[in-house]
Amino acid sequence: MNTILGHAGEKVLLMGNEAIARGALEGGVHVVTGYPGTPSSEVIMALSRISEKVGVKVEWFANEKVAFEVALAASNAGLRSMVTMKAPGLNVASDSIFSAAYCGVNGGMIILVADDPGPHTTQTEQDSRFYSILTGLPMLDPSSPQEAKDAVVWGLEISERLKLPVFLRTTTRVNHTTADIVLGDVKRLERKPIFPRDLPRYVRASMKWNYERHRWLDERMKTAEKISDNCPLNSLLLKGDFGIITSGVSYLYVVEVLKRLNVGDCSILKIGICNPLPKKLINSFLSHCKHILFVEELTPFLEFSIRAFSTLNENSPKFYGKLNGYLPFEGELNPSIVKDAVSRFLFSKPPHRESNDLEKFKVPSRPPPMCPGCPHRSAYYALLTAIRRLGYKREDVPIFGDIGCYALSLQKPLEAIWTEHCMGASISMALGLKFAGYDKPVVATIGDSTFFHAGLPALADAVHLKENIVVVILDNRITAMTGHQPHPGVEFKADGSKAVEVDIVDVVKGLGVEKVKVVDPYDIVSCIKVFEEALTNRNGVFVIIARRECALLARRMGIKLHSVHINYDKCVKCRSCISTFGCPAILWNDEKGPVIIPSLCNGCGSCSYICPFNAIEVEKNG
Amino acid sequence: MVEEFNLLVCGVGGQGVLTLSRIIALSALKSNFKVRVGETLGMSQRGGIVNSFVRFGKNVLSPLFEKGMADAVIALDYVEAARSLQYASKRTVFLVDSNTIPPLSTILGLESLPDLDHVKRFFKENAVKAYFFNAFSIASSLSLPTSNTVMLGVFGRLFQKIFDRNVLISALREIVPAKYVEKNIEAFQLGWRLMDDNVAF
Ligand SMILES: Cc1ncc(C[n+]2csc(CCOP(=O)(O)OP(=O)(O)O)c2C)c(N)n1
Ligand code: SF4
Repeated sequence: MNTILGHAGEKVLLMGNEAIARGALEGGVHVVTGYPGTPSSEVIMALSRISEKVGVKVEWFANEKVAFEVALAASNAGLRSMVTMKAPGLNVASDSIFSAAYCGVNGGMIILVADDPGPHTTQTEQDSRFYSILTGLPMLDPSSPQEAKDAVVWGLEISERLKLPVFLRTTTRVNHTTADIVLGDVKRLERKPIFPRDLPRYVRASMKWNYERHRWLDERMKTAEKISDNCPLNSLLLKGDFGIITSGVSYLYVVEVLKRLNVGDCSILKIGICNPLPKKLINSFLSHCKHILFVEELTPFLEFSIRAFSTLNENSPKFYGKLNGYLPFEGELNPSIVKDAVSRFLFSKPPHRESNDLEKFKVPSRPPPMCPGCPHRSAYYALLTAIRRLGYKREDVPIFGDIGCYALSLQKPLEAIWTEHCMGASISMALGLKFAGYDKPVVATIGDSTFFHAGLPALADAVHLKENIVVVILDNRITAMTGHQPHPGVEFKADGSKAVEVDIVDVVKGLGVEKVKVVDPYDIVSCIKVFEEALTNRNGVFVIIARRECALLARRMGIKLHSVHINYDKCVKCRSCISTFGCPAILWNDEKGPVIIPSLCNGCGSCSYICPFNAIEVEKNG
Repeated sequence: MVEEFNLLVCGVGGQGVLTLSRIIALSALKSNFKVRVGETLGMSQRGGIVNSFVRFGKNVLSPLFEKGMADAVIALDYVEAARSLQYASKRTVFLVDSNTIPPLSTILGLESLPDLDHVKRFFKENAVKAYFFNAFSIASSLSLPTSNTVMLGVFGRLFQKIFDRNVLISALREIVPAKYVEKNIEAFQLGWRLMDDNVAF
């Protein structure tokens, strides 16, 4: 039985993202969309397994902007919707969200955005709470999986009442925490989509209408202010005149730390809605407390807002927080950091900590490598070899990278990519360097999912300007890094059912690229030849599609192309296979030399090309 | 009733850390504890470090615990056991699979791999209780790819005052895919017996 389909009142174990998925069912959503991004992806992954059964439309889209607009149309048409994304995805969707604040929605709509203090898996430590102010939309900020589930249900209600999309902003420690959750009732709302024709509301071409809709939005937010104090995610505990204002998972750290420090008389205001702020609760806290500490992650959003807000009152308490050095701006909080800050605040000194000798043991680092048999490793190996064979030095030919598993190629021994900026930037930056007049070859490497997400416009420009750039599309037939979600280039949908495959070859040709070659990265010899041809091309854009299924996915489907072994009669223990290729399935044994671990090897066979003495022998599996 | 139990399950992507931590978390739920599991997913399949903080008891709220506060650590890789020492104190019990997937940096010869005896000695010198088992070879003998359910048996035996053996087995049945359940229960029983021998000493 799938626990997210449990009965109302049942207590089950759910991950935060599964709890959010359940919340969507309890809130009666009809449409759920998104683009994958850690730590948000499991919401759609959980829902797509049951979408048919529960009659909810659930799908991945090419990027967050598309996903948002698909959900927006559904909510404009009176259905309830949710869209999911990680924090950088909000930047991609934001253009559309600003306009959506002016037209509003008819059916409730939740925009889930997952921030990543730490960061654990994200390019920046963006604090998306500021988007609530920028766009003028309400935003909820839960601290646990249970609250996140309940916030979806409550958020859909107020969204529909206010006729505005509502943000649900989470952090990794909410999305990826698993906890006991009490389930509520699943709701089914029978609705048919009807798009109302209402020009001033949906057309942003008239400046008069835009001005009016801006006033409409501000009116709506006045109504929202009345609701804010009753947000179920807020809680107020008035005790002594030392108080803590906190939000998100930090609230849980605060409660546990106070208990551990045996402090029973500290007041606590937990704020679960960051726009509009619950002004009555804040005012009663400000008038009750003489000293207030802010405990929140990332940019001090509450601290900025409430310090400013308190200037409207005659007497202001004394404030402590990031602005006066009580907590760090960067990284995620944890119980130890919170304990230090709370102790300094309450007792004017950090807690006593015994020095721990146990931390002294030196352990080797373990950044995640590309999997054994990863086609990206073979493709980069071939590319670097081609660059070298043409007589270029490594530092002559910049390799612009992009976001995905292939970014792991930055590690030793390949150290291939020079940049990893944001989705799609590889092609535009390669173009930019050429445009600026760089006179040696320039390469962009981009994954298939990333290409559909944000690669197309830059490629069109490169064709248009006829700049000599080499674009390598690493087509592993999936969005691998985020947990293997489909994209427009594969033949299945989120629930595994059949979809139309948009062939990247056709797309690239359609954009006007004349030189297009498809290669199998496992065939390193042919790859090197094609890369050499591309790097010497002086006649516009050259696109190479390196096509081969993700090895981890192939492994899961039980595919192992080759059996690979080392012929120790031929092996001279030169170490090339290890030191130039870096496949984690080949270990070094001081007596034997290289050893292939059968349980780790995925049988790609690439290493047979690497060995200069042909000591690695492969046999095709039947 | 347990007030608060802080367990760290650690290892390397592909070793089954998350499955093991889920089984224990579900057992805790079935035993009517509050449960919080803090983990950061993303690299869990790709040979990166995987830490799962499993907390249960009457009073747990947050998904993380303070450094030094672990009651127990289950390490599916002995190098990761050593890395987890930062969460331990002298009252922590370590249950360790004495195998490792060597980090790439050590294969490349950029960093050195601490050998098992060296790690064992460090635990001994610092008076941290640690049990080492060749759990992976037991799993392999059952043609299982990971040792996580062997280590579940070890854990279950050591903490049999907290969890009923049948609760652990029924949680295992719910989490492990049906066709592998029986083999994993066998692994669990073997793990249980491994610890039996130790507890007798
Ligand atoms: C705007 C934005 N959305 C989502 C992500 C999360 N993300 C990181 S890599 C990636 C896609 C990887 O897919 P692909 O390009 O096919 O490369 P692969 O991992 O399969 O090698 C995604 C969606 C992000 N970093 N930024
Ligand atoms: S998951 Fe796939 S694409 Fe990512 S490193 Fe592994 S084999 Fe390569």
